[in-house]
Amino acid sequence: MKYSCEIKISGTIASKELAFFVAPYLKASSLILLSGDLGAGKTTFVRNFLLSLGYNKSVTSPTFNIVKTYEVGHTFVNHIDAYRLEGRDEEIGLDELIESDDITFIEWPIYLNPRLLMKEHLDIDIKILNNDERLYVFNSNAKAYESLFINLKERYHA
Amino acid sequence: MPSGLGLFLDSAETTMFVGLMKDEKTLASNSFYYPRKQAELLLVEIKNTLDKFSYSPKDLNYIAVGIGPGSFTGVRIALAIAKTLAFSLDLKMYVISSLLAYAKYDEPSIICFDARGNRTYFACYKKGDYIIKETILNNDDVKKFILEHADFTLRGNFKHLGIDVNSEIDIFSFYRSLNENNLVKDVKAIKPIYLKDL
Amino acid sequence: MRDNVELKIVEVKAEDEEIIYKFCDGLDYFPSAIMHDVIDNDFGKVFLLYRNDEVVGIIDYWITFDSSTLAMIYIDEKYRRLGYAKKLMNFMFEDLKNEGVKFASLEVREHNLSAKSLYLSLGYEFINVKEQYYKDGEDALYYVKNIEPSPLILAIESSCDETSIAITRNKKILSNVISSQIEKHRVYGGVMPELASRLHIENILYVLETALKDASVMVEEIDAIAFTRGPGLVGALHVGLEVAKTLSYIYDIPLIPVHHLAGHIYANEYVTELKFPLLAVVVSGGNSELVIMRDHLQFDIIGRTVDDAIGECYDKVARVMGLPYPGGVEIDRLAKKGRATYKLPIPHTQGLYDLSFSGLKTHIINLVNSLNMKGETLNKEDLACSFQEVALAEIVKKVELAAKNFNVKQILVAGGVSSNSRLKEMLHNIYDNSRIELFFPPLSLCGDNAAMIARFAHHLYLKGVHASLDVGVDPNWEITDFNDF
Repeated sequence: MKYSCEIKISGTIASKELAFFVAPYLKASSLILLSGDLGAGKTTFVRNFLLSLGYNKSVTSPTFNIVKTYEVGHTFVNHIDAYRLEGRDEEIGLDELIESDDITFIEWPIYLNPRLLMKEHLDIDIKILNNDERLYVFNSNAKAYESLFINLKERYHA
Repeated sequence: MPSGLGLFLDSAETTMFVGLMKDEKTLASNSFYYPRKQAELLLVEIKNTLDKFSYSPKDLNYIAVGIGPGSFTGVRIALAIAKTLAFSLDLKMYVISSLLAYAKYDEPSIICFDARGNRTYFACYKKGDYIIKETILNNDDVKKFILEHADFTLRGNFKHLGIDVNSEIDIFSFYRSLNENNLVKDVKAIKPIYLKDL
Repeated sequence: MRDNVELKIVEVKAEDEEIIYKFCDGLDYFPSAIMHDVIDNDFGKVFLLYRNDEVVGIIDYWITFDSSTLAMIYIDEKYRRLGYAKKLMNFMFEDLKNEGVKFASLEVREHNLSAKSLYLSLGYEFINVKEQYYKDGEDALYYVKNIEPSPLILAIESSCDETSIAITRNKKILSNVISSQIEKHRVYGGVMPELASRLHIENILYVLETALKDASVMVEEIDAIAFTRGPGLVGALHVGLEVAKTLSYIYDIPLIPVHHLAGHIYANEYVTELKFPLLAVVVSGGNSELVIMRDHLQFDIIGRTVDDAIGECYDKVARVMGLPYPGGVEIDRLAKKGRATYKLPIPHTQGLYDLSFSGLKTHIINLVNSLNMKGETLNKEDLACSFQEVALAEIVKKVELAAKNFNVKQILVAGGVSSNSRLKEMLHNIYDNSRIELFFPPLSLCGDNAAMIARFAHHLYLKGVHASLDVGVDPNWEITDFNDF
């Protein structure tokens, strides 16, 4: 079964609302793959997600560190940026994070060995339409996200 | 086998181990399950263990530590503590593979831990010596091996293989595995066994 | 600046004999005795106070292990009541703290009211009378002052790709060993966290051994163990954490967790006293923040990057231009040979003092890609120069605004990017003739190093701040929470 949904969003406030809307559906052990060009809003999505959990401190791109982990209450959220790995298949301990109960976001998953992404996941692709407008394309094969897609379609008439 | 007061450590797995032996007598043998808190708590448990017997680190004669393979983070935490103790107090230091630390000395043992990505950290030991040296195998190959060697004792964590086995370290087996071969010459130089190389 | 008076304190050397004989002619403490303290007496230290180019004061003191005695202090009659004696005494106290001295003593004539009043105001206490102490038979009053404990600190820094251990006492750096991994990360075009952690565990005891040897210190003599608790790479921080905790446990000495960026800011304390309010400009690979300090150990983040840190931006731009890692050094070097011919977008931020570099970075990446696609050549020197001009101007603009609005006395630059020559040039151009003092750390302390960690730990030690053995690391630790652990 494949779920799919496209949502057009204008402006930063609407982007934040979308992230807040999706947040409750991302439970323990969720794996979310974020794709989109530089500046599309991948890190912003993660920042807004963390904000929805009550984390209001600085959230910046993990390109330099590759992984940043945030502890919010009892929840661990990993923010991985695979950009610098460039498809090199290095064993750098990412599998331990991905296979855990943490919520894990991965930017540029295309640069990771597919072996690491076997777990069922939610794909979010963000296309830049123009300065302020984005097209969020959601895809997943996981039944766990069924209700997310139903509610997204209802809320955004997508 | 070493004599005197010895501290035993391993944290290659989510469960950390702290043990204390005096000559051949087991004073303490404890496993702790503190997921993601090893960096905070391993040294605290070491102190608690020594305090219980009114020992200070200066009373130790040797350290024995598992150096992996396993969780990269866990392995380094135990080793950093062990190296610093050995270096500062001029202690003898023994290092063995964490898989060997889990073996049962007298019984041919298959040791397994989850290496993620459908793989297993795998080794076979008997009486402190390896039958199959620590390596990474596909889960299917491991399951096959286990079926073909039903007389081996299973030690470690086999949950990821669908087998309900989750053992704790047997300190006396750990102790008996220590000998001249795993006694360290230069404490500063010791590195973990990762098996997953960069 | 008032009067254009420049005061300098300079140590006396053998060659200064003529100056000493001239200045100290006729004093109780003979010039020959002073020169003996300079040349033959291993325990003696003599300093002159210069007012512009004129000698106006002298101080001579001895240090024997943990005590010291003031042999003599003299200020030229023409320049009394200007606070010069106090200045020399404070200079001596600072040196005594560096040397681990616990008591300072001196003798003073009963009738020397101004000297007695000075010494008492500096914290000396009367102990007893030494009868007929002086050659003319007059009694001396014996005064002693306890010197604040200046702890011998061992600090461990392992937050990124440098393993460093330093041993310091107050502002004296007895050793500062840095083992850099930069070469090993080059192939990855940036720091590879797992590799960093592996190298830390391999190197750290060698670094510890060298640091102790270089300082001629045994761990038993150490008063406190400091370590970087964050921010940084979690696996790397872990190695320093466990070594520090273990040393603290073995020797039963306080364990002091230090914030990495606070360390960078306080690296400047090795070259100047901090004057408040001050603006700290933190610019490194992983961080870009503007911090106002109204007092010691008091941090207020007034602006920060909303996307990339400046160092990170340099690395990405360098990468896209095909330059080796680390990018900052390369771009700084090339920029000198180029001109700012490429038109680049000026960043916009909502926050008054915030910074943003990702738009600039994206523009350059697109520019380079489109030039490549069209088969046009890229002038690397000019692009490096254009990029640097815009990026650094952005930082300087916010610095100027903040410095003015917060009425700061000092601007301290901190973090790896503080060694960038163009940034130094730009800030010096603005502040060299201003009443605001501008400081950059010495080159050896710009990058990650443990001596800066030790400096901040010194302050925490004096405040009695330390952690228990269950302390962990925080890769996202904010400077305003430096006291939370």
